[in-house]
Amino acid sequence: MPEIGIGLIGCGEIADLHAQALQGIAGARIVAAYDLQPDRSGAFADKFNVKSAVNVEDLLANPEVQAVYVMTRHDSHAAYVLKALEAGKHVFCEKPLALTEEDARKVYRAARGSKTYLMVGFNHRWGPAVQSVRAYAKAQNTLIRLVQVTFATAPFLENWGGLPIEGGGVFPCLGSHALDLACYLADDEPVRVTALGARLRLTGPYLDDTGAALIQTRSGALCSVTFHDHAPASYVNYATGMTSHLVRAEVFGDGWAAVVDDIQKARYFDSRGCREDLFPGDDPLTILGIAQEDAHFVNCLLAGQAPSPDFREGLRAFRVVKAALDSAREERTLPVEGVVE
Amino acid sequence: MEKQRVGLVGLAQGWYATLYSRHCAQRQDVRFVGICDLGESNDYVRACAETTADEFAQEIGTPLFHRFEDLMDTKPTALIVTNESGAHHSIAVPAIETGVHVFLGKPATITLSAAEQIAAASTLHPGVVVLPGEPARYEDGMIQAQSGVASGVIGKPLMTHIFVNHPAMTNHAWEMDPKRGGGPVIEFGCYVIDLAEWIVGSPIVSVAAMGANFLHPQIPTPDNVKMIAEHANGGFSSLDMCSSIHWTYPFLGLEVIGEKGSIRTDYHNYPTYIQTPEGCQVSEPRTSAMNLREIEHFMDCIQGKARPGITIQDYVSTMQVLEAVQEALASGRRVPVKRSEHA
Ligand SMILES: NC(=O)c1ccc[n+]([C@@H]2O[C@H](COP(=O)([O-])OP(=O)(O)OC[C@H]3O[C@@H](n4cnc5c(N)ncnc54)[C@H](O)[C@@H]3O)[C@@H](O)[C@H]2O)c1
Repeated sequence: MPEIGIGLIGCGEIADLHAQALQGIAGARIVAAYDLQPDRSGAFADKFNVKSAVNVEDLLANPEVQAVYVMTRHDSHAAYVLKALEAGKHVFCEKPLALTEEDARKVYRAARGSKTYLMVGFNHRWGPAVQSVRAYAKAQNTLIRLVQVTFATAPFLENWGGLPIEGGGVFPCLGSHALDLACYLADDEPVRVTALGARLRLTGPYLDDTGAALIQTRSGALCSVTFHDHAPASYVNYATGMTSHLVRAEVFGDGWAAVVDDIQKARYFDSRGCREDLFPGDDPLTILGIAQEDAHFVNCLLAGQAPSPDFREGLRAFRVVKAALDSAREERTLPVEGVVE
Repeated sequence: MEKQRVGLVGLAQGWYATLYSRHCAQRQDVRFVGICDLGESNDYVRACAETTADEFAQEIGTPLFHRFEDLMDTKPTALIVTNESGAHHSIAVPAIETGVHVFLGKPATITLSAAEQIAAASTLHPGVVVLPGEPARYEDGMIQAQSGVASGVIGKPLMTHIFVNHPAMTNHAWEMDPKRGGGPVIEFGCYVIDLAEWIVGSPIVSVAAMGANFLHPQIPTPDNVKMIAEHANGGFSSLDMCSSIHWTYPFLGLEVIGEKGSIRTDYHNYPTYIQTPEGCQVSEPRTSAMNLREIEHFMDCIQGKARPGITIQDYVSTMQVLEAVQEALASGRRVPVKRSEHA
């Protein structure tokens, strides 16, 4: 059976989850891992029985590596993606693609001109309830009018994620997921955004820990999103014991509504009344959509097809987050620059 | 026992007018002194109230008047004010000045200035009960949410989401004319803003908003508005006013995330969840007769058994926020809420 050899850059928390998921995917083989902190790549290599690369060049020079996962801090995403594409590798990049317009554009251009593929990691798109709600919404064949996404995690921003250079605060860390998910569920391009940001818990060098935004899409749909890391310990998903990530998403069209509730439940309201689908299970990789996005990436590569969300959506997602941040600072609604081919 | 002499002014808010009057008229402690249709035609009243003023006065067993002054001559002690919401203050202010208690159908007014006029009259007549209609305040889930936050079990509220869904009012021209009825932005926006300030327990200091009209070309203002608001305590609210859903969907949805826990509920037939470090409390699904409760509350207030759970000052605050919302919709800017003496 054909195989995709995979190299991992960044051996932290999310890398562990991706590695677990990849181990369960036929045709995926993790070859090597690299981390700025050698003890991390060492421990990771031991755990998953892969090579520990001494530097990124070493990893990219390995002919067995056909695809690279970029899972580092946000300030190094763009540079690693560019290097990997240049080395002729396919790339899976964790969100966000970049922290600056210049970097986002560079990645976009490189990926557009590349023979290899780039996929951006928006795992919450892939959760079973989100997929079900989106499929239901598409099948209604009417305009989508309203979307609402509530996103809350346990406190984690008092770390590199909350710092200006390395992470960028709550907007790129969590807002990127929530804003992307709203556009994904609206199935439309964002054209205007207005946002609020605040530090309700963090102090010192840390950026905002709380955000709320409104988006209007090209067809006129209105989306609202909230995102923060204040979820108290009691705010758990009882199946996984995890403090919730995606708490709720609502989509309204003409004559129907579909709701994702606490990640694992979908409810549908229409002329036939209300019904509910449960997506039981306690595997965080599936509940969070990580197993599904990794399988999609690997299967696309095996089939020679472009995976999604691709570089266009990565650039768009960057621009929504950037416009939201600017809007919060300037206290006014701002246009979201479109991605024009 | 001395009976309260209750009168009804206006049948424009027909559903409220008939519901409240029928309920009051059944009470042993009420003598219904009259209904005033303000001279509106049978067609007008029928479109609003599915009856005529004559038929309704007969049903209640009370005289019908066409002029407000004639109803006032019957010496009412309390009035239910359900004329066009844009003209509530023209009834409420003279009534308060005459010492007559007033209940105002929701929305109590459609402008800040009208709310301030009523508040000013109320300040000068502190013995007169002025109760703005706000049915959602009488809904058990909202009450549990408010008391839960106020008790401190979830800690400081940081992020609140409130969704209000009610089909736009299109029975009569006045309801579709924002200058007479306020349009959906005021008509239902007042629910969301009042609930947010009441449940979070902290006034809104600034808002940003986006609106659209999806289903009602006959209404020249948005039928859907999404707002994000900043409270004085630093927390945020994400507030949705939706009036384009014409099928079964909960009327209210609410979630408050605090420092220590969270509260979540939908409108009746759904339970309320209160999650705290001690565990999760789930209430029984409930149905709340919100409108009857509010008119009962009015009766209790005028009989001195209760103090208004919502005041005209609260409504002034709601209108101050709604003025900022309208400015935010027009300008695309985040708008600070201007507060005046009545807030
Ligand atoms: N999709 C999700 O739900 C989700 C969850 C967590 C994190 N993430 C994303 O995954 C990425 C990593 O987050 P994490 O939580 O795993 O962080 P982490 O801190 O646990 O791990 C990051 C790792 O990258 C290494 N690193 C940092 N800079 C590097 C560089 N320049 N070169 C090589 N290695 C470097 C660090 O030493 C660390 O081991 C981020 O983009 C984050 O936004 C996504």
